[in-house]
Amino acid sequence: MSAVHEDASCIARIREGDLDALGELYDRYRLQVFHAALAITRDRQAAEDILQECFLRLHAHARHLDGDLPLAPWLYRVTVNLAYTWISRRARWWTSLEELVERFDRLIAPPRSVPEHEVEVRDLRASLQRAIESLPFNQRVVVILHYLGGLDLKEIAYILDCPVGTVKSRLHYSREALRAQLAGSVEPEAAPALEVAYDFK
Amino acid sequence: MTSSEACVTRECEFDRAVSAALRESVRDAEPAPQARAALLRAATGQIAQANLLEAHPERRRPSARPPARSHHGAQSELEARIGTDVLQVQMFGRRLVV
Repeated sequence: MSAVHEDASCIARIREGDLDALGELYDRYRLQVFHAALAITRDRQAAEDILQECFLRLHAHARHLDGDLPLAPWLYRVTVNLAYTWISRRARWWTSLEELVERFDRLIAPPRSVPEHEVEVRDLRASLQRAIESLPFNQRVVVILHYLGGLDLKEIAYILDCPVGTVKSRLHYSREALRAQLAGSVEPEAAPALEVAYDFK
Repeated sequence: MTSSEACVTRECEFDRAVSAALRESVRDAEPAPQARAALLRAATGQIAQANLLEAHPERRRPSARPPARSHHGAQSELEARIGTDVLQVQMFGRRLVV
């Protein structure tokens, strides 16, 4: 049985009040939903809340879902909407405070002896993560759905309820912004080596 | 390697780096083990509430909004009020002029 049919079968069982079916869908999709929520919000508690709310909405709206369509895009759509609500409600000063604490933690963290290459890779990833976090919500979501969720432009367009061209342009500008931010964060002496690999010009 | 091939390679490397950074940021992150049980409890609560409301529709929470009124009706009433106010001002103005 295909994944879509298995999901459709679970949704039909949920409509009949079978909570085990909800548990099966939770087991199947919890990591996708949780990781997307965590990547967008960068807050573990928020990601857990979004995960639960997402599956509660699945339970509540099961009778209106089309079983012939894949379930994952619908779950992503709810996840993105919930994450947007969470982010828009979050106070701006709190974000600044968290960033301050994070920077302080990085300053006082004891130096660890790790191979140079590993340090470079880790620094690059950390820079990329910070750059992704600093993208505007609409661009960040497209990057996360594409690069973490592995979704194509059409699926992302469905999730965000916008034309494929809009997704394409958001992805383009996100990549430009990431490149620009990374170029700005690279230390002068490390720049030549990174430019060879990623062309940050 | 041609310049366009090199460009494609750089694009692929950049894509891989972004994917890797995102995967790394959520690596090993899992929801709490008790989250599943909490979800099923909450869903059970949803079912119980739906059943209760089906059996006793009068227990439905009243909407915070005022009783529904037709959009056109409300609009005409508003228009009528604005019209009256404007008319009064105009009349007042005319009187002043007069």
